[in-house]
Amino acid sequence: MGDIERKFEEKLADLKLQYAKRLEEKLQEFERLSVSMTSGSVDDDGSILTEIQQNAHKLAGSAATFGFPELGDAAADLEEFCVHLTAGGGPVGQDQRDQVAERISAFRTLMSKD
Amino acid sequence: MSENNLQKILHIDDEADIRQVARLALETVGGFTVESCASGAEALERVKEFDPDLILLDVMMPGLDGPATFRALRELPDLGEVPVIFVTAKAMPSELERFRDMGAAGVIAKPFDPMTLPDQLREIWDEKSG
Repeated sequence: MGDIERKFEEKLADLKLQYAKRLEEKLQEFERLSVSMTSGSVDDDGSILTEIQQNAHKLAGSAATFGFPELGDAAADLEEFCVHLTAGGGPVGQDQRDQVAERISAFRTLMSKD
Repeated sequence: MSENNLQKILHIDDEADIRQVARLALETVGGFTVESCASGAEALERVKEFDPDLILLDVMMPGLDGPATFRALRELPDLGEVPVIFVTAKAMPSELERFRDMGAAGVIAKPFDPMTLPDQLREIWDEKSG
């Protein structure tokens, strides 16, 4: 390995470490949104689901780059599911909200697998 | 703008993590000079002074998204010919075609491998300049 690659790998490892630390905050935010969404009819306007979708999009676009490919795939799947749910424009049922929550609850296991 | 030689890259992405890792790869591995912007609005403010050879532009951003930023950049005098590469997590064939129809030089899929990002840009640059 040349000097440039070694320097790059060292700095990348540092960025990955920083990302892994911030990942905990990202997951806590998903869990907070998940609880808000499933605890009653507070998301009648779909704003929490939209926020989950936006966060999932960000996670899908970055997780694999920082060494969490399975988590990234799961986030992409969640984003797609949220897009599907909001596409109709109508209210999202409790059963579908529970499916969103299930996907979010799998994130931690996937993070530790990666 | 440098002549026929890719040196200066303007990177626009609202995510700090992505800006950091792209800058690291493009500067350390690619040997480029990189200016990072967190939004389309910030890029529009700084693009003239930086005078990039190439622009790497995230598609989904709050406020001005990638396509809106692209259109605004194209309206700036003297910047109309600077190649723009979109970066998107939704690299569906229909999306790729839409971006190419808009005039994008290329599309890079997210998540990207930072190690190969500089080569991907060079390849698109060579195609465009070729």
